[in-house]
Amino acid sequence: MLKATWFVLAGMGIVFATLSLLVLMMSALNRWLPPEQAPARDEGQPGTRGARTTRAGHA
Amino acid sequence: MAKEIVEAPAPGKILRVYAEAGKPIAEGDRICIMEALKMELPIVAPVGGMVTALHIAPGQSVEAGDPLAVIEG
Amino acid sequence: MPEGELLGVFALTWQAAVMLGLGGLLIYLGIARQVEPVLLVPIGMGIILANIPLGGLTEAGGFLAVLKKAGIDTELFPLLIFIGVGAMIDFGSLLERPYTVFLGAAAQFGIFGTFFLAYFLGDGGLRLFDFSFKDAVSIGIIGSADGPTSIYVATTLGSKYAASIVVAAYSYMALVPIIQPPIMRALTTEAERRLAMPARTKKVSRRTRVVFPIVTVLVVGLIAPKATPLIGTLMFGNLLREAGVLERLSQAAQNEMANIVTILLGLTVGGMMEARDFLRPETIMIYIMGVVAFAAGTAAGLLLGKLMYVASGKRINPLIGAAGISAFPMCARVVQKVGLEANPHNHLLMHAAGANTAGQIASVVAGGAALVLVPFFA
Repeated sequence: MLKATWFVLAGMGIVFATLSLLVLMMSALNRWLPPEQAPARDEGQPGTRGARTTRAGHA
Repeated sequence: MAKEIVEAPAPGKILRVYAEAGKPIAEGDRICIMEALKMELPIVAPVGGMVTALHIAPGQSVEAGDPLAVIEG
Repeated sequence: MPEGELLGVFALTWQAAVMLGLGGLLIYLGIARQVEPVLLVPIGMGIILANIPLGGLTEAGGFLAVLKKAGIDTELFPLLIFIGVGAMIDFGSLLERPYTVFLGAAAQFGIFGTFFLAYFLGDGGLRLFDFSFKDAVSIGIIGSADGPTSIYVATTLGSKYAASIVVAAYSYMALVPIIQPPIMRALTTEAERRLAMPARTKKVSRRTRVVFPIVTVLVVGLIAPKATPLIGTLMFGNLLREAGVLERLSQAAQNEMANIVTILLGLTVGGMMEARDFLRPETIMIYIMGVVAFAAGTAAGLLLGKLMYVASGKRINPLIGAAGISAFPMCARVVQKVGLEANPHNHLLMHAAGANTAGQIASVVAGGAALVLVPFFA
């Protein structure tokens, strides 16, 4: 059962590692490719909103 | 006079509208029912008061955060 | 000519009769109760066709045998379905809330936890059931709550229970609204469930939506290469959707192709359920493990949700963690319903949809991870 335990840990490890990278990538995409023009009703700048997302991503 | 703007919780379509502009509404009364992800979402008044503006009609598409109605109480 | 060749009724064993009844039950559930009719009706009919004695559909060259060889043994059907699924999924709610990816990741514990239990009951410990390491992994994959991934992993690993596993995965997806709410209420407090989350999020640009599927294939493919066929077809479908200039192809993938392959897949999976492979204690155990898998995934998502609730200073409702298992959009709807029960102003749908679509990606990654790791352990 020891090898089963390692299998579980390694599996969850790969899942979290891959998806952590995906989060970084999504945050980067949101920052580098902000909406072309912010919708008129939305206050605030696209840039600052991007920054906020990055923090949320690490929360 | 507190002014409460009711916003759409999700992008979707307005199915039925119950509130009327210029009429009073009680807290918990239905404003409208909208559809998102093929699910009906009942939108109810967060406060009681007067509906001073209504921005929706049945069949209309809305984005998340769009104002649906304004209630002044 | 022996009389059995003429009248099938003389060749009918009680096992085959049970299977015919089971096929009828699935068709009944699908049509009368509307439980996932799109899948259960073809599967039910497939079971009936495969178990009529002397029908020959599952013998070499028979209709169902040919379909199985062409579409399941080659893993072609699940991959084609995934193109359609990718074209149906809007990853916008995920891109607006990247942190929900972790909820999808946590919920994959359903896969690995169930594997552990299955292996313990089988070859790894008690030896009560005939579950090899590979069978246990395949059973765990039911916890991905994702039909195509279940088929892909179970057939790639060559598990002898592939048919039961696939049927269990699809049946439990229909039961998500029954399995999940009790666990959600047990693991969260009233105050947590009442927490409303803001409707408004920052918008995601079209360019982000177009680049996302491509970069995801690169990231996932380079880390877990065995997941490339699944993530590749899923994201190709999504690229068709988001490209903006391929509306025709996107519609074809979502409708015509997905529908045709669903018909073929359902019939074939039903056809794999022959009495001699199906009526054994292991099958019943697989069904029990399926509930365990869904429950464990839900619980793991909720627990990470609770951690996020605390870490975010009570701004994230832990319920959305339950949507981390990838049955889309059923889980998101369940979360919305349970949240609304606690607080009539609490619309968690889009937040849950973020976790739910993350679960879709995460289950593919988990399936790929399992395939990568099996050779090192089994």
